[in-house]
Amino acid sequence: MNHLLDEELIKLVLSGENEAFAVLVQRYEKQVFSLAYRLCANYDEAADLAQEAFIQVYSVLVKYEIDRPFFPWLYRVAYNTCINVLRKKPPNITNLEDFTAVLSQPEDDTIPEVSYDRQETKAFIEKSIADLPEKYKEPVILRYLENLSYQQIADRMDVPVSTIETRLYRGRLLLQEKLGKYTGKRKIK
Amino acid sequence: MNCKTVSERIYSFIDGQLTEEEAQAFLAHIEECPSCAALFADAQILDGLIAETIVPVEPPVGFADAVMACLPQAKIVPFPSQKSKFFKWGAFVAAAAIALSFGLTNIFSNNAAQPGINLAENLSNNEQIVNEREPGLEITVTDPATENNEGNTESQTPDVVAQNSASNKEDNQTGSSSIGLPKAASGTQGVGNFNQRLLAAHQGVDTLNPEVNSTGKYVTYYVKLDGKLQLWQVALSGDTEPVLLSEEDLAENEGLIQAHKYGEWKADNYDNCGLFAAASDGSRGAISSPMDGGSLWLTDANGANAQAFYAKGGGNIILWAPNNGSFVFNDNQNNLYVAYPEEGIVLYVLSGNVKNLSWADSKNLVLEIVEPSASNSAVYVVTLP
Ligand SMILES: [Zn+2]
Repeated sequence: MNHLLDEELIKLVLSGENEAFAVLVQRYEKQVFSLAYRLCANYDEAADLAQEAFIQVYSVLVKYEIDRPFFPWLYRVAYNTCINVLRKKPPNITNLEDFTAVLSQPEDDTIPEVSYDRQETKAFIEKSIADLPEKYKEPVILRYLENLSYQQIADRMDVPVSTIETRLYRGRLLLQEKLGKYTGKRKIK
Repeated sequence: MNCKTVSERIYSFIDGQLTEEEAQAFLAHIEECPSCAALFADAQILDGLIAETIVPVEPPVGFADAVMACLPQAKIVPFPSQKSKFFKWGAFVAAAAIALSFGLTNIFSNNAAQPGINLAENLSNNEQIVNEREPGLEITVTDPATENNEGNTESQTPDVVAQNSASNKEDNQTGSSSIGLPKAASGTQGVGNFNQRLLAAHQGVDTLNPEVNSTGKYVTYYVKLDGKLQLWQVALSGDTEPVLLSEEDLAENEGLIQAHKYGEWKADNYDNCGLFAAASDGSRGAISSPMDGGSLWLTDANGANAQAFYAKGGGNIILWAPNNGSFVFNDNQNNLYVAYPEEGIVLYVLSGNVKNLSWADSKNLVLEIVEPSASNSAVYVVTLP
């Protein structure tokens, strides 16, 4: 079954062949899992989110229009599923505490040496991205994770390309505020 | 480009989204403006940090297997994750839409059209819509015209019964499925071998609150007449005429007449999305919801873990049979159905304004119905397969 096209697999699923869905999951699990991980910055939570996302895809598969590309559709369903779950989640206060150490370090005028613990730094950046407001987070993730152009992101999100440009600019401005110690102190006025 | 434009388009440049011309103007400004050059340097560092961070992540080993293990039993079930605590309306609506798109609503009018057809077998062809389990129920659809030959209707109709309308009388002569069936399921088309018997009707008044008495053999009901409240009794078998048990002053006893209530609106977890009823043995529950044109859900006994079952529902009735093997429910268009959760089957029973309903036993329903053509309610017994 592995050689079959997405569309062929979907037809099989809709005709009751569940095994075909397993092939689709294997085909896209990394991308969906990565998306989920970027949205929550927590490995275990990402596994739950990604699982929920695939189950939702399965549940609404009959709505997929077979003559359109499957992956963007799947990605959209997965994204919406993850966001809906995350919206219901109360803010996780304990996770923030993990980063107070980093946050409370005194700023100085020099660009930091690579003195921060690598893992800590990575976790902090991941968390900062996951904590971005939704409208900035989605284009940032699509830009970096899927390496999409502004036009492609605009198509995916169904907003004008100028809006995407603005959101990607502002989203990264927010990150720069948060991550200033890693990028230097200069602020864009 | 001035400083403002340059700062605003820094990331567009980094992302390679500027035109050749724009990019050259951008770089020309950076060459001359140390302040913007510094911003640009910072932005490049940030871009590098993000690009380093946002990389694909490998899912846990066995992820696909875990997903497959969690796929809903019934194919349209949208609540697969055991972790889900919340009812999800998005999924809910999607499930209802799937059920409709499979043409679920047409099963009965299509399949039931031919006499002698094995409905259970036909339903099993649609098992992905409802339930993966093999339906264990054998249901023979009988043409009402053949039933007519048995001629059971007239002998079982009490003499005191006054027919409410000419059309009603006509229906009774063509067969026992006489209660205002929709066009698709009336006339020569069968709707299962439900035997629908008129048990009691009184000219110009309602037959209120019919109830099966403790012996299970008689049905009592009230009639309001000339300032009096009358209590009547009729044999469930229909073998005897209704008899007047008592007559009290109506004003003093009006409180006795209260429409039955069926199910409860489920507030916790479900945002009052539908009418919930639990089976008395605690095995499971069901929700009949008006959402998205009506839908039916099976749940745990406490109402949790709702799973889509059927694309009809949303009326004011949901009531489990005494043996908990089935329950009746209605939609908001006066259609009554019976659901068999184990077998994964829902059967259309009848149409009519059902005022009250109770189970005489797990096969026989006693109903107070206002037929579409009538102005007053009457008592009927419907025998299910
Ligand atoms: Zn400048």
